[in-house]
Amino acid sequence: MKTFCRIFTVLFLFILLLPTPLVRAAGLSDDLLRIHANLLPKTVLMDYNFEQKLDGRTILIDIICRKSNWYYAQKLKQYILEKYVNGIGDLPVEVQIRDYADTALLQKPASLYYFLSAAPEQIRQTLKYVPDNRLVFVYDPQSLQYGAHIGLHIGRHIKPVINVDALKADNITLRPALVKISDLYYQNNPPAELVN
Amino acid sequence: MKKTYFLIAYLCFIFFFARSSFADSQKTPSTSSFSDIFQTGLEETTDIATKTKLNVDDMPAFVTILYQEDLLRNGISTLFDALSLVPGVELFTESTGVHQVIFRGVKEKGKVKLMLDGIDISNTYRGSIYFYYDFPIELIKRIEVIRGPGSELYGSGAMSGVINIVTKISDSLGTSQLFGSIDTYGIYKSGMLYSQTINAWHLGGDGYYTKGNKGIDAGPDKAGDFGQSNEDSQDYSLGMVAENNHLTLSLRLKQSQNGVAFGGKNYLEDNNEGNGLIVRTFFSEAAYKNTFFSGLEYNAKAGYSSYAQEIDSFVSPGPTGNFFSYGNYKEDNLYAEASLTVSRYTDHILTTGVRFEDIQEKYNIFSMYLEGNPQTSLIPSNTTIEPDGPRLVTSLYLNDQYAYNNSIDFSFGLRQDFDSDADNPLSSRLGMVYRQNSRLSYKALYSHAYRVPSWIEMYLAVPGPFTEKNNLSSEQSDTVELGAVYKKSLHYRLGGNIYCTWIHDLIEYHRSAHSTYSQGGKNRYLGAEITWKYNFSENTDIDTNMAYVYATDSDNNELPDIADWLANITFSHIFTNGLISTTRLQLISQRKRAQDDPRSALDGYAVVDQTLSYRYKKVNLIASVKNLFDTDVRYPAPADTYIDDYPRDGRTALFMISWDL
Repeated sequence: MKTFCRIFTVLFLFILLLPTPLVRAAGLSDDLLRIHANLLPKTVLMDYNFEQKLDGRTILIDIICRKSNWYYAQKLKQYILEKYVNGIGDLPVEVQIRDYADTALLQKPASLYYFLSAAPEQIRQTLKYVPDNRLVFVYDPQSLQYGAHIGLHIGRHIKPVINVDALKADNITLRPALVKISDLYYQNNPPAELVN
Repeated sequence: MKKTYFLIAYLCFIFFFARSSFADSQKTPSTSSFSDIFQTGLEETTDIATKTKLNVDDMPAFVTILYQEDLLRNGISTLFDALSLVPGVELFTESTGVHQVIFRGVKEKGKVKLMLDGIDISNTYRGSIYFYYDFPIELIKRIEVIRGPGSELYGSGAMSGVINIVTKISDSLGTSQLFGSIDTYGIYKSGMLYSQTINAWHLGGDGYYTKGNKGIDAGPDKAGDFGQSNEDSQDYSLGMVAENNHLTLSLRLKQSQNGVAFGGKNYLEDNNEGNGLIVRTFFSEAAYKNTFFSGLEYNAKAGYSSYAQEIDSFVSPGPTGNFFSYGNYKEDNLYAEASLTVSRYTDHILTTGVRFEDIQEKYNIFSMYLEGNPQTSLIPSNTTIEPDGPRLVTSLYLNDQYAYNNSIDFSFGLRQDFDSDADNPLSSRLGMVYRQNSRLSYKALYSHAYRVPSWIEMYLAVPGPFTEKNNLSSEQSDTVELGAVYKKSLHYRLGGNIYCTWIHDLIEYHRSAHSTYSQGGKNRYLGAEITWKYNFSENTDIDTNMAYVYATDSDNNELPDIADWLANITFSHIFTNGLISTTRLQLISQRKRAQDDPRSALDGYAVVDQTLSYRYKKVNLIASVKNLFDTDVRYPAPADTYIDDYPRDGRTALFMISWDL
């Protein structure tokens, strides 16, 4: 048994000391999805020009995911629709799920795009197809470094993290109430925890 | 009787508020500014994060959360098996087949609290919780485990760990599902979950039934005989939840029937005689919460629970026939609790409350008889315990979470219990979290916890007339814990902690002509736990933990029957077609023997489980092989019983299926 313990300890330390790979995987949390579901439609309203980004009178949210995360995307859709069964005020809420591969489908603009975890290259590529001036909310705040606009930091309190440079580049203006309570992310000087 | 009137009045009070709150919930919210809407959303989500323990790394406690999806990926089908994934938790089965968990080297025996959706299910008879260990994972959303004490919040018994099962039906966004499973021991299980929202009410119901005829080759037993353990089981449960914004009503009925495994007195049964152990439990609770005004929340709950056990089993062979025992016991518990949480002052979240409990023995019969003569008891006593009367417990508690600044939080807790038939133990807790930055935080905790003696410890009356009350007071423990958490991202988490626990005034069983309990020892537990989770590629993650404990008694002898090293490595890979492969390696080190046991230490073992899971639309399929290499797994047996200890499951295949409705 001592041998087993030694093997385990060596294995444990070896894996622990592995250099950090460039690619991060998707450890999707149901509870985190629920938190995002609660905030996504409300985030749309925090854009000064949100009325121009509605689909008629509807808040349309596109969830972009990999095939392997389709199940989680469906859960998120269910959570959003159950939470906002009557919409917000007089604005109905609708949700669509799209594959990262279906970039052509992004041509019908949504009010907000929500990116589930994916490879950095996949996120970078898909961001190019997002119509101008549309907010991109990400599951993993580390994806802000690829040019997404907003994510959430889960700590003792939940705090939005907003990518100031990406917002400027995409000409999106957020309400001061949101900016005031958020952590600000600058591409040139990102917080250490949001960089690979 | 006064207590009954009190509870009726209390329930009326709750329903009065519920009606008014229901009326409130129908009102259309007034138009708010956009920023208010978002701010409210953030507060709601912070509540969700706290309730679901998503931000537990920022809280002053060492907590492990086990999620259903991860457990199913590991091919885990019951609560008992799931707990083996918690750092520092070792599984154990007694000769009677009763399961136990060993938290941080401390044998459970009433020192672990188990709650179902926040409702305490332990009994006063023995302080036991084993009858919920077979609760199926399919009904569970997550399992929250506090590693370490929690008496200042959860009262007596929360000494070495607190387990809270959060059921799927308690979740307001619950799902409806049919599920079933079967394994190669022939244990099958079927059940369903149902969830619906009608107007402002969320309604949920679940139920399952499981049965199996399991036997494992065992022996030589105490008489030197070989045979098969009797681990036949039959178990069912029905649960219901109804909740709106303010009121939650919960009900659950559960019955389990189990064979006596290796025999109550360590003699194997010949033909699985008797009914074994049947446990029937029921609980119901009405809980009400409301916010009087911003920053002041009121919580109230009242409930009734009952625990009944019936034993009819083979005990030992005798010169003129086999000895059998028959026992029938029931206790009822009525309780009510009210608390106020003040968070008006932004730096403090202050909670204070009071709880009343009235626990009564309803009936208690015990006899031993020769096979074929159940009417003729061989012992003078016809009961196991003789309590002085009901146990009335009043508890007062106060907790404060204080945010000193953005980096440092303090927590403080104090609880005083007043027991009518025991002492009046006090528990306390002081904790601190220091967040050096958003990646790294440190924790320090001190806790003083207690366990009030169970009725069997205080009033044991078998064999012979033990009507004298044992002069026992509460077991007390002091624990100091230090730890750190490094969270590099959503995908990388490394945590470590060290602890030292002293348990004073230990209550110990003495087997003699007149079996009884006495008090006095002091054990010390020194340990460390490391957890590490890492998604190191797009589709691959590793989740691992390792724990060490060095446990000694008053004479500085190492405690027997516990493993000092425990480890788990779980490796998951998602293939492009959606198939998930999970490999789990579990390591348990050798277990030392008691001082008077001449046998050499019981060997440790390494077990590999391999599970494949696949979701096709609404159907989830799981195939798992446990103990892939058929490793010889044994739990320790006392000296002079099973010289080769209690054998456990060899290679076993398990198939599970669920269908979302």
